[in-house]
Amino acid sequence: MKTVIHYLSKYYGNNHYSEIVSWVNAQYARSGTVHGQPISLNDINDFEIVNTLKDAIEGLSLPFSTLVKGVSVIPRINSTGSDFEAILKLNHLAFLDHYTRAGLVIKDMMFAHEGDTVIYQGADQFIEYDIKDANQDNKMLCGFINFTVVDTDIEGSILIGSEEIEGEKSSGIANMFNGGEFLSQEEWLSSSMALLLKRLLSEPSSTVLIRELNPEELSYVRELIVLSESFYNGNKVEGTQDSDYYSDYGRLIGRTYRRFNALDKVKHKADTRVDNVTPISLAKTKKREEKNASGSVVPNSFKERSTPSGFSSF
Amino acid sequence: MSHLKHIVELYNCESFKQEFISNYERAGESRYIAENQYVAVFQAITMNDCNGISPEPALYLCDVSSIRRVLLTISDQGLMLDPKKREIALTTTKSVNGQPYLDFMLCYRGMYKLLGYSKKVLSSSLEIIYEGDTFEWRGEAEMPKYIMNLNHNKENILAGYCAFKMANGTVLAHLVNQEEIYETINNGIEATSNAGGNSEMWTGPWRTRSLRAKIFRIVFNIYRASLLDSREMINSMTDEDSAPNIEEFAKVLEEQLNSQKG
Repeated sequence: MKTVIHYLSKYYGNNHYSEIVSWVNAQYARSGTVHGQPISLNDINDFEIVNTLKDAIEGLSLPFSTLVKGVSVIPRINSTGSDFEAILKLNHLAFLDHYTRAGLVIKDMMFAHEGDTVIYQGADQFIEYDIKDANQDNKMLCGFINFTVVDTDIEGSILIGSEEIEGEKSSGIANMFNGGEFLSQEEWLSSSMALLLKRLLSEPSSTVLIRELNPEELSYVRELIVLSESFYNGNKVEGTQDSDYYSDYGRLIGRTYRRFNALDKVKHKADTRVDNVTPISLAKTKKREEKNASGSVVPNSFKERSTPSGFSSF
Repeated sequence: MSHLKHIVELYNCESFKQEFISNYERAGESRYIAENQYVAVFQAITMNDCNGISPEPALYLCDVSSIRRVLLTISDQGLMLDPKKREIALTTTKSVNGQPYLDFMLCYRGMYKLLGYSKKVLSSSLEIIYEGDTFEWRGEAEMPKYIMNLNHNKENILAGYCAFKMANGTVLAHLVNQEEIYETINNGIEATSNAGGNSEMWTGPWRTRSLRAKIFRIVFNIYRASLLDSREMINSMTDEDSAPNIEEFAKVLEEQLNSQKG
């Protein structure tokens, strides 16, 4: 944790120190489960986390506010299943800041539930809605954004259905977190909103936005989109199962064993240690103690220890 | 090896690099982004890696003049060459003498970007109509009426449409009927399965997204001459274009000649 804080405060400056500490603490405090094993950033080498952050922060010149408001660092099992690695998950605030700077004005950003009224008539009009707090616990129907562009009379909207909101979560767990569940429901909803914001540039709404918004900021949004998609690589981890290999005739001809995968290592760390082996570094001390207990003289000086036993009798 | 040597020479050519970067700057991109594109595209060419896809023949075997032409054409349009941006896909085509040359295909993100840059188009809309939605088709020169019903039957797609409001006040609308849509879905599932991929994108939660992208690509391909400003982009390939099969053409020609002889 110290290494991460040190790197961030070196990059962004010590005037952000308290915010950095609080953000890093929040990332390390997040834990989730993979195949029943609790996992957190504490299971990853600090330098691995710094490398992941460094690629994004220095590669994109990521502003400090975007990092602390819009980025989460999540642990996941790597592609070989042998260890954990850190990845970045961007929420809607990461995109919102840059869209706002580009000139986009978000009028509404809502989720509608059963019982609410939502009238969608196309991407070039606002969505009319009547959303009641009383329906918050009902089944979710859709998420949508109404937007306009600063100093223009342009109106637009974008909407995703409930299956895509659920898909964002299931696909994130399967293809991004490799089976781990690390985000709260609220964070997943933020992720769905991020999905809507990303889609603004690859749906009919983009025709107007590309023309009207600041191209440099839009270009930065595209960089963030690439960053957010770069961690979806679908490395599904099949737990501790072994792989069987069969011949063309259906006979089992081989089986691969993974001695210790990432989960085994975490499990081993968590297990109560029962010592039946003396570490090499302690072997001499232990032997000396044993000899001392039996009353024999144990050589202590270098000369005594390095002289072959019995040499003096010649 | 000699191909790579020429590619490295092109990469080091200051005048080419300057033209490439100023193309992006004209399109409103920062110099930093433009330089990133320069490095990314040469990396993709020398590694023959377009976001995990390796074209055959390899990109680095292409004639250098074709590399120069494609890179300047795409940068001139402000489209991102980095394969990760998925705005264009680099590919190779063999010329008559067998020499491969670099070509590109427009991806749907690139298509949307070109629409945004086009002076001919004001706005676009695209919807999929399910059983339960309100929809009225008013012909190809008028915007259709559409109101979504959130409780529509997602299992029964009735149609899809894509419409463009043009700067000259006209409307270009295209209707895709139910049969075409289900054929598109089935073809998508088959193509993904044949390629050894996961067809979940056509059956799972992203079905609507995949279908919307596909309908847009189909309609864009039909109307691109009316939608775009640039001749190079109008003539560019998209994945909706069927590649000409020389062997089949030769076979048809041979049959015709034989029948004429007969």
